[in-house]
Amino acid sequence: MKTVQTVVIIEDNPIDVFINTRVIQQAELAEEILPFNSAREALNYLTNCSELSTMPPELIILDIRMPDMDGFDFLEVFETLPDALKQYVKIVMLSSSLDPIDESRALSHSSVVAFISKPLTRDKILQFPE
Amino acid sequence: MNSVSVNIFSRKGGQNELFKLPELLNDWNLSEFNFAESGKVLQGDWKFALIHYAGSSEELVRVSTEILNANPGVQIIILGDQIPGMAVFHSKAVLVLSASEMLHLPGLLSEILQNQVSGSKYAAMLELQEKNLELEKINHELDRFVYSASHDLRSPLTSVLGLLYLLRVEVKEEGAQRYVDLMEESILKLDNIIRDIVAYSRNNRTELLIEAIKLNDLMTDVESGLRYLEAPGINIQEAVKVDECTIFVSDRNRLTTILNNLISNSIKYRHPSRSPEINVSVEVSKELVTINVRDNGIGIKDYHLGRIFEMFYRTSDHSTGSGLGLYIVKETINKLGGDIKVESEVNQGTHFIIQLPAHYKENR
Repeated sequence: MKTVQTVVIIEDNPIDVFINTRVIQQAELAEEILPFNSAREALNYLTNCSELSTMPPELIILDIRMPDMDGFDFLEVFETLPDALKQYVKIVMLSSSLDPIDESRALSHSSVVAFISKPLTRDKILQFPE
Repeated sequence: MNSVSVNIFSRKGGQNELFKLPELLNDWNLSEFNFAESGKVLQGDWKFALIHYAGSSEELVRVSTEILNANPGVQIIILGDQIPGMAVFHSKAVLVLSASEMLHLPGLLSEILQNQVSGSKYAAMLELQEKNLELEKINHELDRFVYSASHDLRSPLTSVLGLLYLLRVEVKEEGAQRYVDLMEESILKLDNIIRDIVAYSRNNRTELLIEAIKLNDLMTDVESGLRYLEAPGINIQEAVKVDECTIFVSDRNRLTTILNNLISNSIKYRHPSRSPEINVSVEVSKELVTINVRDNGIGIKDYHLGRIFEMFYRTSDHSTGSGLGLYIVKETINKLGGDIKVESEVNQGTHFIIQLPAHYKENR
């Protein structure tokens, strides 16, 4: 995947936030990395982007299992955001899950372009679809 | 012998119209039985009214009540999915069948009719149906448990793997690299045990899903399962030669599990002085699908051969796994109704012969 302006990481485990940030930096995937440790905070940010008409992130790296609002809950709310915002955003799901249902469920959302198993590595980033 | 009556009411279109009995009878092969004329219930101990449900549940309750009132002692069999409010009828031995159970109705009916099933057997059938539902629920919960437990066990492992990956990239000291390699190997081993346990429980609990398969189509999945294998300098695509064109029917996921385990063993136990070669071929006959997996690895000593499919059995000298891999292979093949044999010669290689049924009954 070519370099983008902003990547959002939604991940509740601080160690994984650290890993993802470092790997993205090393792969020079984005100018700016914005980590959120809850799906709710990330949604607030996206709603603000939409209301203030600022440029949304091109890529969201989304964990599945999170307390309160999980990755799938996030996707459902995300689908209700304005198209003007959604069309810019690609979502990559990142998880330790071995459940095939998680993968098919994730890929059934039109905004989700890939389902990646943890940990994130440079090779996996290179395989993100454009 | 008591006579038996079956009234079939259809609620399609809102009218009480009788099903076209002859057609149904042909389908169900029940022609030797006496059936009632429209709406009339014959004498005998066993009376059934089959109601095909297509209206509202209130409507159904009303019609069923009418039938019950007019024909005391009649048993009602209702065909249709998810009918709310049917608990009302349970005291009157109403059997509610879902769409999938309707497929089994011919067998059930002929059993009821032929054997003049007693009231207690009928009750037992209802009980069995309830037990089945309960088991399905337990199975589903177990499934959820396995996936969420395995996820929680793997999360810290994947974090450590991520950190080791960064360490490898950021720290260039030679000594450190070796420690990173060993740590990574240990973590991957633990991760593989968790994967094995999930595969084992998945095989035990999920229904067979039989479809047409070409071996070549499975190889992408097999290869992605092998990417965790510690095999530096080995190109798995080059090492594995697969029969590309033979089409046969089997369960795709289970076959992937089987090949995954066998091929990863072939790579793990490759011969140190030659590059690994693994040939996977298929032969289909009228009754059997035979899959051969042949490698040029280190081979298995005679005295291990009889025990390699046992749970947790490990050949002491080289094995690095959990002792679950070949046990899972054997269990998975059992579930498919097949068999596996092994021939091996030390220093020459190993040959696994898998025989699976060439046909499966529908819904199995």
